[in-house]
Amino acid sequence: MSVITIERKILKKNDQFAMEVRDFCAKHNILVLNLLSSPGSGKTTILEKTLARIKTRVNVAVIEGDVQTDQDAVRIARQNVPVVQIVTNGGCHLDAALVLDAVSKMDLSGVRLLFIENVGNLVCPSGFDLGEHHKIVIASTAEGDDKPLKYPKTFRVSDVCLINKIDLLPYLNFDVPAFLANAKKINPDLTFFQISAQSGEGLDPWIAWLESRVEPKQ
Amino acid sequence: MHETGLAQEIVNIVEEIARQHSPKQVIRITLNIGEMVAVVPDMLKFAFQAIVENTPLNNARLEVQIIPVTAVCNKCRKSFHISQFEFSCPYCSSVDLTVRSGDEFLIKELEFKECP
Repeated sequence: MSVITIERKILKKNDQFAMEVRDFCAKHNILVLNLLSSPGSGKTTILEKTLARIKTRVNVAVIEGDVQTDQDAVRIARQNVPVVQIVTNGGCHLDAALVLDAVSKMDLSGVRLLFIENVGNLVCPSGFDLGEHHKIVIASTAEGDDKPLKYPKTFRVSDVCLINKIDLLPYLNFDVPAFLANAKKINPDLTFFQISAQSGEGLDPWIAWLESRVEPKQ
Repeated sequence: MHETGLAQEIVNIVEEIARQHSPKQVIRITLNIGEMVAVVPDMLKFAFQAIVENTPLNNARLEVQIIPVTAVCNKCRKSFHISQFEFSCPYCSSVDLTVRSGDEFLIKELEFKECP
């Protein structure tokens, strides 16, 4: 009998691909944001509205992740920004190898901001580094104010939380202060934006946050 | 349900190391999984068993050690266990913490037996 201690990271390969994405984007001065949420929280609508407002001032590109269909990439392409669709065929999250492959297929010359829309899932994507600068969690009011407590890891690893669909607040039992308190227990450093992608309410501070972090178009 | 992919990754890593120790056989694989890691140990074990069936790793036992989330408070310097993802100091309520453990996801140890 013999025992060896190896202390080998199981996600080492993913982390190496993530480092390649990070190095590439650092070299080209691209801010990378990884959007995490449950299905139906409004990720794609938020992206559409954000792109419409920001694309004249900042060069943006998008990587779309879905289990099936290229419907989201078709929606994003209407905004006339570079977009690549990753179809995971059942995979519950994006990994860094998929993102590196997508990045290598895109023309990112001049791009300063890259959104990665992860597969809609509040569990699995939280464990995979994609080489992003920030993970951004999106929770919509219709999902309930208990989501930070039920999916703490995703809120723990994110830097920004968008609370979407605030236009529905009059019709729901969503308690905003309770949601904020729940999320802050898990991650005291989380930055919040309360928005409605549909009505445009609250988008200004979010857009300003983005613009303050990227180099504008020349 | 990403445990299947992770189990495959574990098998790949262990097979590579086992080759270097051939003809010895791996009889135990010990993982360290932090409480913050979104992995279900039983699902991981189930997927592992399915993958290694009829392979040299078939007799390897997959053990999981859960690593608790611990932190030290940067204000009162006390150390403590964090439960329920509540990242504040239970002694002084400060949220200025340094997390010490709970995010591990690694193969800690392998045990081999000599081939007869």
